[in-house]
Amino acid sequence: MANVPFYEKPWILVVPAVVMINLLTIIPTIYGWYVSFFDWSLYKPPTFIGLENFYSLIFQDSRFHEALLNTLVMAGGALILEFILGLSTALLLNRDKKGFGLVRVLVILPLIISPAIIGLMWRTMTDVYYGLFNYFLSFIKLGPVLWLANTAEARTAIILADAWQNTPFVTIVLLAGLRSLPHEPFEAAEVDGASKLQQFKELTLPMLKPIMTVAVIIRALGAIQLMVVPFLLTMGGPSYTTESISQYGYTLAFSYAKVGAAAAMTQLVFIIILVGSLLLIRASGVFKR
Amino acid sequence: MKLKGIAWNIFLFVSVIVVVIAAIFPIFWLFLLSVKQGIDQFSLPPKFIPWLQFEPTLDHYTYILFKRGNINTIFNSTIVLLLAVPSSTLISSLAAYAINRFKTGGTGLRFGILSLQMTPPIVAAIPIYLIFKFLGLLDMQATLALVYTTIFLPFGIWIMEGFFDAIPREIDEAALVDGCSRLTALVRVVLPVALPGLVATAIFISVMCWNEFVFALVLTNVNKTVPILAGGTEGADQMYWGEMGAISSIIMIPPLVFAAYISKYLVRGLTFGAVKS
Repeated sequence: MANVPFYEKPWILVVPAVVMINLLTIIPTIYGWYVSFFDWSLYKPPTFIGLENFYSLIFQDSRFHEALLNTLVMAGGALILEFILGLSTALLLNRDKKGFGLVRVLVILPLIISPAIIGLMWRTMTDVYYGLFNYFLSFIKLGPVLWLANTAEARTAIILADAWQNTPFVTIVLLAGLRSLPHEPFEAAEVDGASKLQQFKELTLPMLKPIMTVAVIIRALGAIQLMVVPFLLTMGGPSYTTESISQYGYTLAFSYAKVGAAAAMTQLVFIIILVGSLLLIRASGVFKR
Repeated sequence: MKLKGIAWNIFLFVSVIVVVIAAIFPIFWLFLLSVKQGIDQFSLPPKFIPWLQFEPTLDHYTYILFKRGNINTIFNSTIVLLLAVPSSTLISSLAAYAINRFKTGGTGLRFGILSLQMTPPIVAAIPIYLIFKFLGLLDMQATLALVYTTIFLPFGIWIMEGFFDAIPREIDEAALVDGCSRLTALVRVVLPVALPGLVATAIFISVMCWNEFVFALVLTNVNKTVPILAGGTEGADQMYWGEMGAISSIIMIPPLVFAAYISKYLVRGLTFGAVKS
């Protein structure tokens, strides 16, 4: 490319993207770090306090600890549910039957909807007296559940909501994975007399491992960011037991106007996520192309 | 033997029905709620069939649409979308082309893009809020559009890379042989071939812009976008389910319209790079 003018060189194509990403993500993140060293309120001039934000967050802020716990519990529960359901559904749909195209379209719908709607949706269905969940539960003689008033039930509701929205993602990805598996090993196993269950355990699962890992990583990253559904369904209640870390960050910054602490918290969380996912990716041995 | 086959098929059939119902039912339920009035909203057993079981009404929709500036909100969402989607699609396509054809930026760039996707929105939202507050640019559609353009770049690049991957380099080469400069080759030859990919990316990004909540919440106040409306229906004592249904339906319908189209490309887009097919 020696005699090519600069506007013909490939990197020029990448410049707009890089510039924007730098301007609107990298620079704000660096600024976020800067802010986190201050006692920065929106209503008075900021004062430098060094690592005090971080110190009080890690060692003293029980609401932060609670948020961490909540996020882990809810994201973890949702992940487990999504993968169990997603794998089952993918196995179910891994057939060339007529009409499955339509089924696949219908099954995707939860993904396309704004999480904000899911919050509303669930609010109507988890109502104690008139909600559908309790109504259906009454058929199997299970008493009315105080969905949003108790910790375990509220977290369950959020797990269910998140799983409802994101299981289709797992289903689609795993379905694509299943469809891409080669036939020969299965035919050979069939000839050798292996049962369907054995085929599943020894062939399907191992071969699916790479794509499952990718799906887990993507979903885990998504689940940790959980904010919209709890925000609209439980407002973090009851008593902060469904408050996710993103939500706490938002509340710190905009309800309590403690932007410094909020910046510290979000940067901290981001580092944890970054390191955690890098370790995960490394450990799983799956390289993204 | 035959009986076992039939039983299995019935089981499959029922399972599929269950799955589909589980996926669609809440959406369907919200639509129902949006046209029910008064006591019908709350009655159990729930009423499903309009005109037979209850009198449907459009009152909730008219109330929502004409209530203090909700039309403006829909307008805002549309403007943000119209600004952000073409920009994001274009910029990410250019970058994707360079990355795919020339490996521009190597692993460093890839990593940068990846870490962008790993960021929870709130991490960037707080500093961005401060910066734009300082600049006096809060609560403007252009600001939100700018932010959206950026945050959907990684996704756009990911999808477009897949599409460019599927376009053989011979096409580029042929164009060059015919005397095109690299840029002309891209614009006049490769892009038309990649058009389905561009459309798919644009539609995906549109849906994500429409549904986005966190940045909209942080960066707007009066000029809010549609998903924020969802948070405005909290009645302290009364349950405004009809209105919640109506708002939800309004928010849900545009993405749902594209559902069939999206599902076609969703698999391709999601699994490129994850599945070696």
